[in-house]
Amino acid sequence: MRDPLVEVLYNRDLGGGYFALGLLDPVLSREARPGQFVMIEVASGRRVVPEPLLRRPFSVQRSVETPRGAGYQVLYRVVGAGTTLMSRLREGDQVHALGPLGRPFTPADPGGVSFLVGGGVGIPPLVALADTLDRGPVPPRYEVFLGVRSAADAPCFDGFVEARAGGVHIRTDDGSLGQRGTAVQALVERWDRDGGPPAGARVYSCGPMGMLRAVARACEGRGVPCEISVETLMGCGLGACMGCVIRARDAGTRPDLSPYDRWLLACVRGPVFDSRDVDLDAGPPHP
Amino acid sequence: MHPSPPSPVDLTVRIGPLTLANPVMLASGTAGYGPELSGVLDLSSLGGFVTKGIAREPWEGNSPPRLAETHAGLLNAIGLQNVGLDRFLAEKVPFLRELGTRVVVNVIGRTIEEYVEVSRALDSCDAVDALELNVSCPNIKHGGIQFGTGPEGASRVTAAVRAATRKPLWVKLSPNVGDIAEVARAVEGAGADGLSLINTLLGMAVDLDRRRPILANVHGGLSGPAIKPVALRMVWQCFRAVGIPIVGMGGIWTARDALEFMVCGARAVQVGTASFANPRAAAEVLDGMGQWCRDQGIPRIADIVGTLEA
Repeated sequence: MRDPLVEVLYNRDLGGGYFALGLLDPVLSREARPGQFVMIEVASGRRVVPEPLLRRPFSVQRSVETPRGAGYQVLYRVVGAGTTLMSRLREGDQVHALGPLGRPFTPADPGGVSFLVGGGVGIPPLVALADTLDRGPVPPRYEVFLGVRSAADAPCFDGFVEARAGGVHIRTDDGSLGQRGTAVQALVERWDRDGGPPAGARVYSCGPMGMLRAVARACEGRGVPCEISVETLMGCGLGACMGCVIRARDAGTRPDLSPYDRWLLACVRGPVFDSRDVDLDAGPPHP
Repeated sequence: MHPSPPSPVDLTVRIGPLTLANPVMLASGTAGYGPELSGVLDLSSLGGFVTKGIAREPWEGNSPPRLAETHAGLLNAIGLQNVGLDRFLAEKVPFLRELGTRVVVNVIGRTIEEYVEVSRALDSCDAVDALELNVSCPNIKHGGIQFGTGPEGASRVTAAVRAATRKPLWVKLSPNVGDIAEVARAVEGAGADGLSLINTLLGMAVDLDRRRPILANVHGGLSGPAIKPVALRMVWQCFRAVGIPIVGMGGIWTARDALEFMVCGARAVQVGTASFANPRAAAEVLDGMGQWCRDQGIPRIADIVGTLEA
């Protein structure tokens, strides 16, 4: 893990408040595994004491090759002071970006079938995963299920609009793009139509907490292994501040579990967890 | 003729019987148990490392949200989630033993007996150079700050731990008191070898539209540059009130911040919240302090301690 001062390759306005930030870093581009993230110093070099004070965590969406060298891209939506500052970064600016951080998705079994289920700004790490599957030694078997609120959120699909091996199913809450519904509904309909999930099915998911609860329920009820990537408020990304915790499953009733391990640090134990290891109903009301 | 190279600045400082290679440490609760920052920061380059608070038993900590950013500050209500004494000794000490810098263990408890038991167990641990008694965490319901809000409680826990350990004993005081110098004098009288000043200031952040506190714990401890003026004032007041050495902390972001603490009477400093924004902050602070001494023609950094003209 490193914390280099990296150059901004581009910061594309994708519309609807969404941006794609490209950073020049051949090492991270090569080393980052799908599901890992970086902590970006959004207020780099602007003031002695940055405002906002803390860095912001972003999943690595994909590696990029440019004439200036290899790097990686993060996709973000402007929601607050940090992302507003980020949206003002220009080509050639420099920022500190610490990473790659966190536990990545478990690589898929060569013979299995992967289901990638993403919602909103949780979709980007699944792009990295699909890229890895596409590069695998055997032809990948995977399908992608994506959900957003409306057509205005279409930039979230960045990286999935091109043809993918197993097809991309798109749902919107209001039906303004693709079919009306949610990504998890689409996944369940798919399985129901086929009489259940296929043998060797495995689900990888990232998105809002409500979606993660639904996908975990759908998978656990059908015996399908499910890995989810959670988003929590992070201070340092290194396991030092202990701010980003998520509840361990059955934390209060497991005698084998030390009280210390009832709250898991999402930055180092996650952000990717086996859905059966965490309790998504505990803790803060997530936006 | 070539100019002679500038003579190196002597950065060593003494905190009672303990000599540090330089005055910069990492503050408790902002650098975990050591490995967390070691991937991007050479801990052996620093004067010392202070662990996350250690209790007799493992603690769960508070529900999230545990953090809230404020202007030039950070509120936290972690609630001292920690691995507990046994796991600390088994899993964390081996790393700390090889750290190559002074190791200070922050000790917490809900009762005086718990402070004493942890301190007694650490007394025989060769990897530990000093204890920092945390009587000032604002985020737990029992223990911690209840001992630090007045001179009686602080001196009782200090005296009890003093009797249980021969290690150098620092006491980290709460700024959430009326007269910090009075607490400092009481702790000195109870046998402390040093003071760590200051812990976080009790604060609160509000989500206006939802009309809810941002922290699940409602209130938390404020750190970061916002509290530096309060910390400097308290270091200066205590420097004039006691004879034992002071370790200063509270919002240190730059070398100049750290040097201000030393001029106000701190023999050493701790960098905390700054490490979250920049994990190499402590090393950069140290570099800048040495550079400032060279620029000022100061051969020994210890000579600036308490030189404030006021």
